[in-house]
Amino acid sequence: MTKPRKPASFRLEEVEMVEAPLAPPVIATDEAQLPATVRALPALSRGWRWGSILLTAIGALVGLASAMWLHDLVREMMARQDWIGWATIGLLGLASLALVMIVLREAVGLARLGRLGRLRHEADSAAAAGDKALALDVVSRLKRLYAGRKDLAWGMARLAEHEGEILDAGELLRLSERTLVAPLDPIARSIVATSAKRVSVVTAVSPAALIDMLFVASENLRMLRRLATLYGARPGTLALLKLARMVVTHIVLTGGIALGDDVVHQLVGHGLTAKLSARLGEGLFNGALTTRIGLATIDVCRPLPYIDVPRPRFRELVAEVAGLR
Amino acid sequence: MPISSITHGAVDAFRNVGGFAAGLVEPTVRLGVTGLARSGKTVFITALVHDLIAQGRMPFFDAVAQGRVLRAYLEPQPDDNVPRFDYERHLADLTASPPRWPDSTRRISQLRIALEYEPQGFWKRRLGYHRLNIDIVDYPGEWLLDLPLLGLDYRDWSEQALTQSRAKQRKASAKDWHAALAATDLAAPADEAAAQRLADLFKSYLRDTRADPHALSTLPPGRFLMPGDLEGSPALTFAPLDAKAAESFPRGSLWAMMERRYEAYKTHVVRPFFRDHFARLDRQIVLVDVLAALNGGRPAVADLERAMTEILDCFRTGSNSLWSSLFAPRIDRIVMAATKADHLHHTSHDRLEAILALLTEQAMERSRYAGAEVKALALAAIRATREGKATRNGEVLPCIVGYPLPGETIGRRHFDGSEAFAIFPGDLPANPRTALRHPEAQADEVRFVRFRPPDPVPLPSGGFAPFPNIRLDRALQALIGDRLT
Repeated sequence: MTKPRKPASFRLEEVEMVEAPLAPPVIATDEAQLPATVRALPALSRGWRWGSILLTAIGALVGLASAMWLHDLVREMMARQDWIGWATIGLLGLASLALVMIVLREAVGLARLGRLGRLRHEADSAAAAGDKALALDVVSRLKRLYAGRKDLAWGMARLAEHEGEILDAGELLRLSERTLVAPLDPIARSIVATSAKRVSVVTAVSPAALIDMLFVASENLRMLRRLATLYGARPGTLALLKLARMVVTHIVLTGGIALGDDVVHQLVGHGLTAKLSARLGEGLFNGALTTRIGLATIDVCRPLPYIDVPRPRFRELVAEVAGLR
Repeated sequence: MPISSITHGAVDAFRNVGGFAAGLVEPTVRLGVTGLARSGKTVFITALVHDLIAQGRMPFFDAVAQGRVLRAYLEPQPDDNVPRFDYERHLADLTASPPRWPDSTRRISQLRIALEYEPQGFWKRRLGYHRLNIDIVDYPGEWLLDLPLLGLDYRDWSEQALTQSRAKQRKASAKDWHAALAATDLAAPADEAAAQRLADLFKSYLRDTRADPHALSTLPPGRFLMPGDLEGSPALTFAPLDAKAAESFPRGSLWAMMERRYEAYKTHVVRPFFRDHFARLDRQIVLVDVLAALNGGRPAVADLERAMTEILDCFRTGSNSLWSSLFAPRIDRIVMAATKADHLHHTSHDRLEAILALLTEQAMERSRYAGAEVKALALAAIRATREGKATRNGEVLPCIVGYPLPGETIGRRHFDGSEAFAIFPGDLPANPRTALRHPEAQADEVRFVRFRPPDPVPLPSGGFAPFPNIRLDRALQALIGDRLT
């Protein structure tokens, strides 16, 4: 044990004031500082990855061929008429610029999604361990994430008003949840409810199975994008697909828990309705599926865990879909 | 001895039923603010009322944070025979320039504050409950010490008082009284002059022990120190006498007279006070000035622990059943608060809470076992300091910055109250048992300095901004948060 320190007094000139008791944020974004992922099974060593070598080679060939083709195209155009050649070059430049921008945007979208995931992960561990430094870091990053949002300006002001007070890690997270994240929750729920409603209705009335399959898929992706945007991820196409994968994983992982809770009701209800009308039953089933996907998406995208606000439950949302609330 | 045994009369039961019925019409919470002298009851109540009325700085008091409290205002208080808590004068003290702490309380007073709020519950909305009255009683902390007397007869009390007066640190102040006591014949016929003389000597001994800055909790009877309106009455003219264990005395002797007066004191002073103000509490906050006790060293801490345990033993705590809420309501939520947490850097609050929890361990265990919700926290109803960092010999010390009150000292430095200083009060022990039970805790390991209140911030719209506080909102939430849903 260290020796207890003696009392002392200092003149103000000797003291560095800490107006708000905020410690300097400890940035823990390095992958190395995250808790190690534990795999259930040892990775299989597969030696040379012939498949990827094949794909790379073919890709390179196609790239070369298209480069040759473009080169020839430009030369041909040049030979035909000067200005057509230049126009081709211009269009080519524009196309490559657009391509670069798309790639960039996708990368940024992916990065944003990753950031949100890391934020959530660290918020979880800060809340669990009562780690004040980590909680401060999480909150400062959360504020940066939501810095420009007009809908959260009021919450930002409330947070700024109180965050200088004496708070422990849990309280700080609770305050930020209440001021920054909780105002988004009802909007998220209504997004899910709207999508589920649409899916139900379209499935119930659509003439062909293919149409409603396509519709369900696109509506779900749309919902995913809106939810992610709401919580601050703004995903591009790739990020959206990645998000979809995360959501599916989440559903698979938490499926067992949800089963005991709500699915029994759902199955019984669905069975009864299906007896009345097969189409109606399918509509309800698809709506329930969308609701479940929506809930999982909220779980994945929400930057803070549920501390103060109760987690939205499947049953409540179904009631919302049915217009009972 | 639990208070229940003085309120088991049919009259009290009817009073409780009446209170229950009144609560149905107009919901009221009786909030007991319990604390020894100088533990900060008056400041706590003033700050609480001011913050509720101004509705500020309470991010964790849910009803206010969610904007559901429409307004809070002072109501005429319900009991006509009790003076009103002088909120305005205490507030004026705290917002004067320079601000000062309110004077110590000399008599009992009461206040009712009404909260109008937006209820969340279905039935509450349908039934139109949207107002909650909070009744708070302020009283001299010394009187609380009388509570354990209800369980002691005169002989036991005399013995206890004498044993305490023979302790090392009190012996000097009790010298005159001991001498007079030795010269007194207990079996002699009652003599008013002798009784008066003994009582005066006893009182001056009590006053001396209280004046000693290191002795913390004072000794009963409380009215001897804060007589209120009873100064000079026979019920306050008695003193403990030194009798052998089984000795008995004839009627009309000095002993018999003293014994009668002691019983009268219990019947006419102590019992009504507690019956009227403590037996029907719904919620309780116990304010404990742990830091002052730590200043006084180990004997003071032990003293505080003993006093708190005895006092808290007397309250009836636990969850309420329908029967008990009708006839004998119990306190079902308790907050133990280590006050003046602003005298300490926030990184040490955990340790302070640990010490508090150990100090009130028995009471907390008992209440939890009976089903009450108990929460312990470090609190400052008014935060008088800010925080800073100072470097000494290359070591960074977390400091608090404020204006120490004149007369405070730390090391060789004396403060005159005109200048702000940064104070590092020393490290609290990591293990709370060291603070309480360590055989040779050194003096001057810690030194907590008192500060003057923060400068008031006038508002453009008149009045003053709510005081900065530490965890006042969390205490409130734990106490009455459930009544405002």
